[in-house]
Amino acid sequence: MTMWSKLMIDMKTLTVSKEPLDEEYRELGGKALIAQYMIKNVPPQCDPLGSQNQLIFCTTVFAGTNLTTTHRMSVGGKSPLTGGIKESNVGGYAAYLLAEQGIKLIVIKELPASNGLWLVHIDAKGKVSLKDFSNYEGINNYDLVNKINELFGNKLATVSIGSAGERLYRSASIQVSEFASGHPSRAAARGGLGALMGSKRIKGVVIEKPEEPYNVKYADEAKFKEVCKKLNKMIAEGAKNDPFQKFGTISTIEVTGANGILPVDNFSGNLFPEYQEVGTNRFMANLATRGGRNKLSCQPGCVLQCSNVYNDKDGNYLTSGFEYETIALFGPNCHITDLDAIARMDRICDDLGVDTIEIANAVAMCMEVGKIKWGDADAALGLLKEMADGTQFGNLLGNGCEATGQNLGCKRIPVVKHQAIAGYDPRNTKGTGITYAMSPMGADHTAGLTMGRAFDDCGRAAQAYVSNKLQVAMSFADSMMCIFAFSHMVPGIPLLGELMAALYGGKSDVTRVTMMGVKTLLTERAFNKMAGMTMEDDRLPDFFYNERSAATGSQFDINDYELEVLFDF
Amino acid sequence: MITSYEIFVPVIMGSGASLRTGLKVRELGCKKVLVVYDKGLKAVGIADTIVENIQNAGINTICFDGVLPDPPDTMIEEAAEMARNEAIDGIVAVGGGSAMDSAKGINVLINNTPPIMNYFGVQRNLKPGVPMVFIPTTSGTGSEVTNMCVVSCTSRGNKDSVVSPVCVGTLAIIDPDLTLGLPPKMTAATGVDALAHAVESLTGGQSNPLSDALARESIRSIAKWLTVAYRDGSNAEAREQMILASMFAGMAFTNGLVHIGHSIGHTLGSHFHIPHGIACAVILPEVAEYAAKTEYKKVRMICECLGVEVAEEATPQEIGAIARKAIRSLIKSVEITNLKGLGVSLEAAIKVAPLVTADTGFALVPYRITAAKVEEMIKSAYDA
Repeated sequence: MTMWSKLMIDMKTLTVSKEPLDEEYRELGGKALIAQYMIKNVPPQCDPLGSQNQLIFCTTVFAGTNLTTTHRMSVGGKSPLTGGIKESNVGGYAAYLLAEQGIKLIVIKELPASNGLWLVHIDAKGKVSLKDFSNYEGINNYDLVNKINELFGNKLATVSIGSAGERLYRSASIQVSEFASGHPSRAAARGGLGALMGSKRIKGVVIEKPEEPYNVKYADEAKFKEVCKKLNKMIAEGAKNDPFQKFGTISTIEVTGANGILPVDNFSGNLFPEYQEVGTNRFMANLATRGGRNKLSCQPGCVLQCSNVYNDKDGNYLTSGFEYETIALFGPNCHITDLDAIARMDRICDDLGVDTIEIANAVAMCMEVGKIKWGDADAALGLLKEMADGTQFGNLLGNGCEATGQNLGCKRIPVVKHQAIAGYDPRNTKGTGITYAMSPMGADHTAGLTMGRAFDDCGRAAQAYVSNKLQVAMSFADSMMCIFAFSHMVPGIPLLGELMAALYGGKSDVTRVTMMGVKTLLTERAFNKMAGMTMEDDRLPDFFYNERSAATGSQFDINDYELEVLFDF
Repeated sequence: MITSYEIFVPVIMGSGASLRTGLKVRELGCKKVLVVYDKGLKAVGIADTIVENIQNAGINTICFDGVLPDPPDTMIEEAAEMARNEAIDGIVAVGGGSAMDSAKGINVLINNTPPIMNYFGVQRNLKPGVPMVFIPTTSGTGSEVTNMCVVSCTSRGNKDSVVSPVCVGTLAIIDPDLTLGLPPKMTAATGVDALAHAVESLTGGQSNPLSDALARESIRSIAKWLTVAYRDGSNAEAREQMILASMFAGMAFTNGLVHIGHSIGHTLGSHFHIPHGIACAVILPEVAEYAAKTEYKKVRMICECLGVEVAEEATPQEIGAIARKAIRSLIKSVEITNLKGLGVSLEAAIKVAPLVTADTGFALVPYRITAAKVEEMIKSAYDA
């Protein structure tokens, strides 16, 4: 094998073909590749669950190399949740094995004529087949991975949906197995791409470790290794003092809980004095006394190691990849202070295959209207059980925050482009609010979290600037690596130009990378515009403009024109 | 909007106030101070008078008289090394923005390892330096009351700034008499710098009622007194009003911050070696017009302070156009030329537009504009 392959899977004819990657995608990967593929191949006005939408998996620009954390997998398609373009990327083992298989891109088209269920199987010899998996209908992710291991062994990575994806829940995620443990706890969570996979009737993708790993072709391998080593060293140095490594992403709550950024009681804007009940110390103590772990890598070669295993009181495995967003939104935003209950919610969500951000916000809708009480963890777990059981209300919950909120007559629904807001109150980190409003993805903190980067998180000055810079940076970072690792190599960004030249040839020029970020954003926005989105979709919900955050007295007061021109380059 | 009023520096002011320098420095407990100024100030005798005044109070002085315009980082690092070697325990800066910014830069490096470029941007955790006393001799910079110092970065060929409590003076001594001898050209160039500070802070993203009040008063004063001071440098009232306007504008932009005008000004300044005040002034009318799109209420205030009528029903665009004309007329009244008059070719001038959007101050613009729009602003200002 001398060049990257793409897999084209046609669900109408149930055929699979492996072809060389198109020349036009040669220097692309991740978010950038998804955007370019989508704009050329998917009609923006198509039905997200119809035959014209396509489900895309791809690896990054630097896949197959030793750049730390480069093995993220991007999943793309028109979002069943937002109705716009969606790129959701995920850690875990899948992208690493795809790279070893020499596969850069997988495209799944069309809908099957019958209501079967299939597994895409990439075996150790690189042979790809569609296997009938209709016997596994209704099996959730944890059981499914066990069955897959029974069938194919454990030298593999899994990409799968639970019953939520099969039922086409608009909050459905695609779960990816972690490196080493194999737990399906890494989620391409946002935007309901699990429903897109469910519409294609694909239950999972299994990527076996190949007997002969693909060798990346470098324009100048020695140079690449030299520059890559510098960057890896820089990231490893930075990671040493990173609370994400020492503890995990849960450490974010120590900052947001104190300054009013942490959402409390459906973004009421209040402080939550008990936030440390679900904070770092409690988490670390529970890990220590119950045989839990942190400092785990979700993908091979990661030096940041932010993942974890969280056990229950009896020391039995409960969940892993237990993250800040889940804890903030099922915790303080639902007035819940029981970390174990939140961990169970995380497990249920991963197992069913739903986005914890979306579902936690939907649960908060139920509390806001008094369907269940604030802080009632048992009642919240009861709602999740309804979703698992597929009751009428469970199905509503599965369609996410906006669907649930509207059905219940809730006035304060925290969504942008129909996607629920993540664990940061936009009044108290206004640049993040700008990102929520303007990101083509909908309310997405990973698109440019500005917290601590402007003069004053609650002030207006420089917020738009920082959001713009970060959104561009995240767009290219999401095309090449994990954004947590990226944050430690910011001084080394100019070296990315050298890395591009050493891998693909051509000029050593950092704008090859930065322009990828700009082009991706503009392409995504063009897609959304053609899909029918307007300026009205680029705004936060009214209540962030009209209600004060009691924690700081702040309101979201970025003027519309500043938003309108945010992406004028 | 919730805001904070940043008032940094105690001030004593009045005709002859600089003669209290020695007493005040002694009150601060200093034994050996570095006095920072440029050779021009020595030539007119102001520097010697103040140095002698300090010495008479029983305080040792070390002089750094090598201040250069648009102070380069290398010069600051050299002076800081001298300050460290001499173990000074205070700094007195006498002069315009360059002298005060040099002093601030030196202070940053007293207890923080050089180079100074490591500290560009907003710095919250720098180690403190020594007490600083600022004595302005021009009416423009406002640096005596701000928390930032602008430095020319020789390796990158641009201007950047350190924003830090370490750049805040312990005391400012405002003595309008020191500006009596300022030549008309300097009076004009520094006066319009103060105007730029006031106009930009009024329209800036962090402006607040206090900074707005200061900026409005500053614009009113400049509109009334700049031409008087320009024509008759010996007019004490004009000099006093102008140095006060300059200080007010400095206080205003410490709160409200400056934005696109200074990004353009710094870029033009470092490319074509145009003095700071003039570089900011040539584009200021277009800056006000640009800001009017979103900050039209503020731009209306600017027009009122300049004594120009704006109809009640005027659109933001109309308000912007009125402000542009009014500001330009004020600038022209003190014979400040345009870019063309400064000998810059249009082709060269518009070439800097992409650099403006890369300037660090671009973060503070009221709303984002493209390099192409900056080019339009420069074209509009070019021979206006």
